[in-house]
Amino acid sequence: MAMAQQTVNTAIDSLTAALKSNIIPNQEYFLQGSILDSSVEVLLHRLRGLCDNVDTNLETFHDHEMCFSIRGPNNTQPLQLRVRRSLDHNGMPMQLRYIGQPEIGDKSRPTVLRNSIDIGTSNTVVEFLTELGCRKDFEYSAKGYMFRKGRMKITVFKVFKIDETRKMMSSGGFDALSPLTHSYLVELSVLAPSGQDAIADDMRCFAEQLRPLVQLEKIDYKRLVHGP
Amino acid sequence: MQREEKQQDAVLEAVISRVNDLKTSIGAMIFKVENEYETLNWPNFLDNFALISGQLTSLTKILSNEKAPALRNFTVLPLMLKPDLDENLARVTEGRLTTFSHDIVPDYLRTKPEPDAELKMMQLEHKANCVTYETAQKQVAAMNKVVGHVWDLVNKAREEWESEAGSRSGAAQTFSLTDTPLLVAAISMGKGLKHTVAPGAMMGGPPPGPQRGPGALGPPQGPPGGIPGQMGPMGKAPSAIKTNIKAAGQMHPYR
Amino acid sequence: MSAYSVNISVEAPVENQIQEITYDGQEIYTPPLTMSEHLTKLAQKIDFAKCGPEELNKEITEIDKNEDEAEQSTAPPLWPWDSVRNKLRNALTEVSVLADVLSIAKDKHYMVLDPVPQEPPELKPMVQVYARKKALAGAASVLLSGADRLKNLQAEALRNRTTPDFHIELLRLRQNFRLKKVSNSIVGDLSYRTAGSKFAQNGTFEVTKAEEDGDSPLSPPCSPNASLSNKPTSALRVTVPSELQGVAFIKVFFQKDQDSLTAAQLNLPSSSTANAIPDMYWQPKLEAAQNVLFCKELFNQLAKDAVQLQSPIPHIVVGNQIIASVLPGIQLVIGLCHSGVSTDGKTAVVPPSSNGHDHVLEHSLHQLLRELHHKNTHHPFPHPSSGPIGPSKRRRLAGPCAADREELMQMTQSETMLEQVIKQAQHINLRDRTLFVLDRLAKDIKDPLITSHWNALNSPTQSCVKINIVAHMYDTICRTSLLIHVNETTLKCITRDGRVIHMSYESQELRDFIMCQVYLHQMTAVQNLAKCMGWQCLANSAQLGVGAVEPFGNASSCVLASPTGERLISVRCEPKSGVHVTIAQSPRKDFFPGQLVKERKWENLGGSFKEVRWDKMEGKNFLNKMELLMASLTSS
Repeated sequence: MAMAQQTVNTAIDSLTAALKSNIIPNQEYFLQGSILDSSVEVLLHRLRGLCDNVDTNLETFHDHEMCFSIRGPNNTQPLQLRVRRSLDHNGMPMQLRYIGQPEIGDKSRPTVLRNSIDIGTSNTVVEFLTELGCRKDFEYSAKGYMFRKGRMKITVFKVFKIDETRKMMSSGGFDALSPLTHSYLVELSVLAPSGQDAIADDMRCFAEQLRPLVQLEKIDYKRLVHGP
Repeated sequence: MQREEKQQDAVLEAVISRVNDLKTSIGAMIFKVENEYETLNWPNFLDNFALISGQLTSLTKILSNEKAPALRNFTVLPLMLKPDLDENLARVTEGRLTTFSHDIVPDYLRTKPEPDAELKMMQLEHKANCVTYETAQKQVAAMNKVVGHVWDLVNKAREEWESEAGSRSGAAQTFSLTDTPLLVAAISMGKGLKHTVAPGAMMGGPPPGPQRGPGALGPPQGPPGGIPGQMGPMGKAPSAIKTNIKAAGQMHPYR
Repeated sequence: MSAYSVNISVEAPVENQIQEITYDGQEIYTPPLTMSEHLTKLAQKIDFAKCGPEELNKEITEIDKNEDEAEQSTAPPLWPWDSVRNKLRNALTEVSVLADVLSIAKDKHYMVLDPVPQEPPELKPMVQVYARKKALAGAASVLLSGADRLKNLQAEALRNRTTPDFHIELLRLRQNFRLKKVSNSIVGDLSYRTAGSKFAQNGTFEVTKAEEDGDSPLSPPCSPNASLSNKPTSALRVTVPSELQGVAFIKVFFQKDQDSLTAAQLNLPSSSTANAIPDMYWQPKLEAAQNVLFCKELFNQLAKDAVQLQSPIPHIVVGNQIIASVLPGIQLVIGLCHSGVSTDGKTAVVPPSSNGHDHVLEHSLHQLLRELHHKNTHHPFPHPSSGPIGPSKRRRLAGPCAADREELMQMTQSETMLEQVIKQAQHINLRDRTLFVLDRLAKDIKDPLITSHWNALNSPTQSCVKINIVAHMYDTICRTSLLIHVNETTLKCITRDGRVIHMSYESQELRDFIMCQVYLHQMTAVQNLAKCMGWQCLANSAQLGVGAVEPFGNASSCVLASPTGERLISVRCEPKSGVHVTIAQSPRKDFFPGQLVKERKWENLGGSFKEVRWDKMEGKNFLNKMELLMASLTSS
């Protein structure tokens, strides 16, 4: 009993220590841009040359993301949570993620910075969130390619709308997806503990190398949305 | 008149600045030639010359600008001559002049060209005067034709090169400026993705949560089975959903 | 004649100027100037202002220099620049004057620009024509001379195709190695850092033009830069860091136990000719340097592992050798041989088995290091894509699947390179021993034939061999199969009836086991043969508990009856002493009714068993003999 108590204490202690010593990557630095469908091949070739591991094949992914939100008791800002699962790798756990408000900063900050905490979950997470009281705001499907350079992750993907009327089918409606636009979204992101701003400069240098194909820059989505 | 004066002043300012630049670059070149003649190499030297010639060109451009009043029409009129030291003057002329007195005026304001230049002009004029009017016209016409021809050739070549370079660099826009914000808004805020399946019940707002409670039919059997099962009710007829809302709406404690 | 002479009087002119002529004709001369007044007058004649801006400008431009230098700067060495400089000076003068005039005029204090109507200037077209013609001719001549020069260069290049161009060589070099331009020099990287290596040693090399003399001092601008002098071999010279020069390789070999481990310095038997050619073509040179770096990293990693690992017999790192014990009595020696390194003068003791080094293990070592590099760079991608890069798939599943501490600890443990190599070495050793034992047995035992088929595909730490025991000509009657898995230090044998037997690395165990299996085979074969012959098996026992205790295994026996039941054969197989066959006859030949047993019918109980002299029996092998025996007993 005492031993068990002891182990529990040390586990909590180590967790607290980890939180304090700033080794948990809970900040995300990222840049976004887009590229037309017709030029995606060129971008993929360039990324293959620039990024690590040229010898492996292109890594594709097909994900389904759902965004939930829950309001606090005092009708404050709703808390937004995202659940993402992989459609082509069924064995992998689903991911629950909290993304905070992005800090655009001024000219001296090369990238957008936002809080990001994620955890792998079992398949019951949607039910769990629903029971908690979250409601689903929107969902989409993302299909594209992933690259990696050092700590940076580059994703090039297309956003698809999910056809609600086909949801009841066995494929879940994922065979008839309609693209949102005629472009692919390109994201460059790094997950790091807070305080490592030097990585932002590396990201900017890398973004320069992708010009003029793609313009990776800080985009403030709050200014873009005028309405629901 | 005011406007003209202002124009004149502006032009004068521009001309002065250009002339000063030219002066500095010539001075720099002299310095370079005198001190670095051991390490001076041809491209460097040519660079300096190119700089000077560029500045001369810009000066002529300013002068030939239509807004600039023809400086030919202005004469420099000395207003007064003082043999006293003038600090202001010294500052303006970078120490070259301290007094605006009568001995410097003839040198500064002379209009006769330099002896070398004058000699060259004389030679050319002499040569020109030896030629009759008709031959002169013919020669002028021939020259114009030749120069025009060369000008065309060079222009065409330049256009070709520029278009070649332009097409190689891919003039086509590879990204659409409108799509980027659209996509970012879509994945961040759900703009454009919020479904409007049944126009009756669901217009304008995301479907409320409680209908998912009864919608989670049975134990979830893995993600593909579970999620469509949960999304199933939304594809059903709206009437069923409506009753659900009524039933569970007040009960939910988290709202 | 003197009458015509005229008197000429010479008198000085009036020096003093007339100041005034009074009304009465008297001239009043100005008094002659005193010396000081004279000086003043002369001084007044000097127009100091006439020095003008030219002199002042000269001072301004020479403000940062000493005046001595200023005077010297106009010295003869400037001769090509003199005219240029003077022209520039004049130009500067003019421009300065212009600038001053304009600025003063702008000030509107002393001067002002006054508009004055003037007639338009008259055109002088011919003058313009001539002037422009001259200017254009000048420009055209410059362009033409430049074009001519380029054409000549190209023609020359076309003619001299054989001399390799520095830039083309550089291009080819860049296709193979990473190059970077650092200030004035070109620096390349031949380390494995981009492939995932974390070795600290630098792998940079420098690329220079292969020229004999240094750069000649640049001539005046009329001639272009000095052309490259090309060596007959290549236009590039590559300078590799001193510690990576030469040729290196890793040498691995086995060594039987020695009581005293001699500290031997491994050296290449003959110094290779790597240093003989000073200006080798760059590709082999760079490859050799890269190999040296790789071997160094490998050895470094192995040495680190050797020091950190806890093993029953500790590993020894001596100089450029690592000695690890593989099995008791056998050691694995891994050495780094580098030919470019100068020896310290120690006498090298060449180890006894220096000729037979194990290429397979060396290759394995290379592969292991490459695998390490690969793992450093190839992390699996996250699915879904918004996950962090880094954790493996198991790690990602650990959370949702509620892995406990043990599982997590297991995930973090991994085998070091040295451990892996030792395992491979152990396996090689064991496999060789097994091979030897099986071959020996196959040679020694002639009666049932033992054949072993080794699997063509195996892993570095496991091999499989299938053993068939058949009798010659009787392979359809009976065949005993065994499968043996050879691991690193153990053998696992799976028999046809499903038994699994684990053996250690001692070869005697295997030998004994196979012998047992041979005799079991004989027994099974006999029974099968009996079936074929129509004989009946009355009793059999695989592990016989009667008779002398066998040193290994157990005796087995069976009793066979002829089809008519008159004859009996009993066979007893002992692994140590072989086969014993005895026969008995059912109606006893030697029945004599006695006091106790009176009736004749008791002769049917069968007689005693008599041993057959098996070595005198006809037949090629045991089964053949048995067949003949059975045949003869059946007929008689």
